[in-house]
Amino acid sequence: MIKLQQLTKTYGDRIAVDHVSFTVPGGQICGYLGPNGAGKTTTVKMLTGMLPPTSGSAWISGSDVQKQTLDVKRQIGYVPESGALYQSLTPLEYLQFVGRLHHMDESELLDRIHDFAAFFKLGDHLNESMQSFSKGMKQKVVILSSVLHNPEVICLDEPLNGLDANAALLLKTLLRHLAEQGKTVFYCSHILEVVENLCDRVVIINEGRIVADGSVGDLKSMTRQASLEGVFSQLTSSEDTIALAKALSQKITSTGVPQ
Amino acid sequence: MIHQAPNHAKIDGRQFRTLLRISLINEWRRQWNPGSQKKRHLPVFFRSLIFYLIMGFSLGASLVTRASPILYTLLCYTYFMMMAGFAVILECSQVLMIPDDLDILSHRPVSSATFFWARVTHMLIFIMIFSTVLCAGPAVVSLFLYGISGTFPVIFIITALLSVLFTAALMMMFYTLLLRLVQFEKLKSLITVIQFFFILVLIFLYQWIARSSWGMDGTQFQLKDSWLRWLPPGWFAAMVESVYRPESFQIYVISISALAVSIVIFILGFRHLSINYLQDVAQQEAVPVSAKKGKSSREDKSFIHLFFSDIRIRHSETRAGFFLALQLLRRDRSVKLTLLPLMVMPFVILIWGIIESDIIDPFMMPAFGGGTNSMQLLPFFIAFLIFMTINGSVYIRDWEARWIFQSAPLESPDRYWRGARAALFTAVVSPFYLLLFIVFCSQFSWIHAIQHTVYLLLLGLVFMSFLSIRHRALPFSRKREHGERIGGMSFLLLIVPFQIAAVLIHLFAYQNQETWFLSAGLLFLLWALLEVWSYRMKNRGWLQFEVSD
Repeated sequence: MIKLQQLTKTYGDRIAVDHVSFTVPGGQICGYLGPNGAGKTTTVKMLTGMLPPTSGSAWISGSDVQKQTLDVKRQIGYVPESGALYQSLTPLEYLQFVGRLHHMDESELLDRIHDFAAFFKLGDHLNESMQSFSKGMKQKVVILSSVLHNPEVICLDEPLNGLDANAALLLKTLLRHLAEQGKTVFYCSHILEVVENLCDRVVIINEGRIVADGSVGDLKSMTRQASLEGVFSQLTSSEDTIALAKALSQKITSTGVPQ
Repeated sequence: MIHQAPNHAKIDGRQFRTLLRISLINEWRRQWNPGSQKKRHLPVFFRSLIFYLIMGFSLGASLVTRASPILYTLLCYTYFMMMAGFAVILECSQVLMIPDDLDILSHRPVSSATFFWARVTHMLIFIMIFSTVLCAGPAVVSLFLYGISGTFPVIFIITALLSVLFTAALMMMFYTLLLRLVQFEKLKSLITVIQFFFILVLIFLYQWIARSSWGMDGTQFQLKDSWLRWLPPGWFAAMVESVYRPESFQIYVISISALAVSIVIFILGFRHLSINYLQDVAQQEAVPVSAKKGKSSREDKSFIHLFFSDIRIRHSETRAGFFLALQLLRRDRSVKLTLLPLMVMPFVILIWGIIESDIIDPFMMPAFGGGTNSMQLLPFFIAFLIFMTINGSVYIRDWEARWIFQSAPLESPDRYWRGARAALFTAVVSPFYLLLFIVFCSQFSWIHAIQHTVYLLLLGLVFMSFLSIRHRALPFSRKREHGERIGGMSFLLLIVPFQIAAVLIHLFAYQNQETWFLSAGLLFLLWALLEVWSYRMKNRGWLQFEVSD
């Protein structure tokens, strides 16, 4: 379970996350949406104990993010947006490294790595340097490293980056099954179709504040929009997108590089 | 707060070993397969070791026949400590202060202390390997010192490594303390100045100790001032001295006491800093771009930018290179950290020259007679300045942005490079020439000041053109690996032939006005020829820039 209570983060005068409160119970997939710079990643970083909040509180499976940081980190699996990993290692070495940081038993760790790698068809590449991997293959390793230690809460920040359609489908199905087994999934993304299809609930943040919280159906009926894209646009943008796009396209085609 | 959590003070043994092991494996593999360079060179790590070995032997050989054992030890230790200080300054920001793997590690259940000590240990291993190689030469050479026993080199090297460890710990503590005390946004803008300051202090201390310690006593140089024993290199030198001169036991006790107090301070200091470390570095990484609004508009009004904003550069690729280099020098931390801190060395030499009245009109000075003075060192340090500028301009933290050169190839990479080079020369090298001119004017006639500045400028331009011929990487296109900054200094050996050539030219040029004009003309011609040659070679594709892996 994830619980946020008046969680706030400021950088000087700027408020990145402004008194955000919500609870995500176990077994739920919660989509966390917002435009660029809305405060999504800052929220996730506070939840994962990477960043101390300025005020407010947050709990992961009952552990206070500020007071029991290491306990919180033991219970979460996190897929960062950057997809960062040590590329000079092989997937086997990297996953062993992550497992050891979580104090996993060596033989169990090795079994799990092989089983998990097979899921994403990485079994034949376990001993290859990740420097030669495509972005999608690296992303698969990052995703596996986030669930290797059987976390209670899984936070994913744009997890489909670089994944092909099959791998994306596999991941979405996996997340659904994990939620059915009681895991809490916190899913940050810009891809509204995925959030619409996958998430039980959607929280929309704009300029650091929660502007909507509910199921996709609730939000649609509340805003009288036919799609989540419409909901999102209505809640987070006041601009006439068609006019803006038209004006820029005219500028793009009016000048160019001399041939 | 996170830093108050007691579990962040504990070091987890298994995690520590895992972190350290992976960190060392990463380092090792990156050295052999950096991934950002096309050709496979001898890893920078080994190049640096060879450089350090040569430096160590040269130091030992230059002192062994003239210095007493205590003076030899003191001077060597001062040098070792300066080099260890350099190593920390050059690498600390990358390894300890701005680690590039926070996204991988900071959400794992690793305590701050474990994380911190894994980092510190990694860095210490790195520094101790370099230092052992550096100390090996003087230790072997010390066998030829007068009045020492066969055990001297062993004691010398062990104590030398202790002195290096002490310096590295001291510098690391300074840096981590800064991370703690200064708000990171301020620290980021201050870090170049801080590095500049630390290098300035280190070089000044080294020069000061080296110059203060010599005193002739009969046939040998002896330690001149006893107060030098109270400085950290003196503590360690006294430890060595006490082994073969038991009458100096009192000094030994004082030195050990000073050292013991320092170690206690280190332990307490590092313990405190290690608990807060993770929070401190996480805090800095988290500041979003949107939180820095308004900064760039202020920086755009910098003197250099305003000065050059109206400059007319005909070719658009040259213009692109010129302004990109200027803007990155102004704003990009990794570029500033690469290019600016080491530039302090020539300035220190110049200041020492003024202090010691070494700035002598070259038309009046006996041409490169005995001894060394600041005027003779100027060509070397100008070459050093240009070398560090050109070599360092290749690296940037956002090296992946080079995709732009792969997707939209430059029509003429050489023009782009020349634009960037012109900006680097203008912003980094030319202020030194301006300073030189002012100093020369204060010391000798202004005509001679102009002449000598022009002469040094021509020498510098020739050296830069030589460097440009061997230059294969586009500016701001490569990732800097750990240790590469220290390793890059091994190329200083390239400057030695230049210095020899500079001496020969100087001998000819400063005989009279006619020979000066002839030399200046020839240097100008050589520079023009080198420029044309390198332009043609690169434009015809005979020398190609390396853009991709």
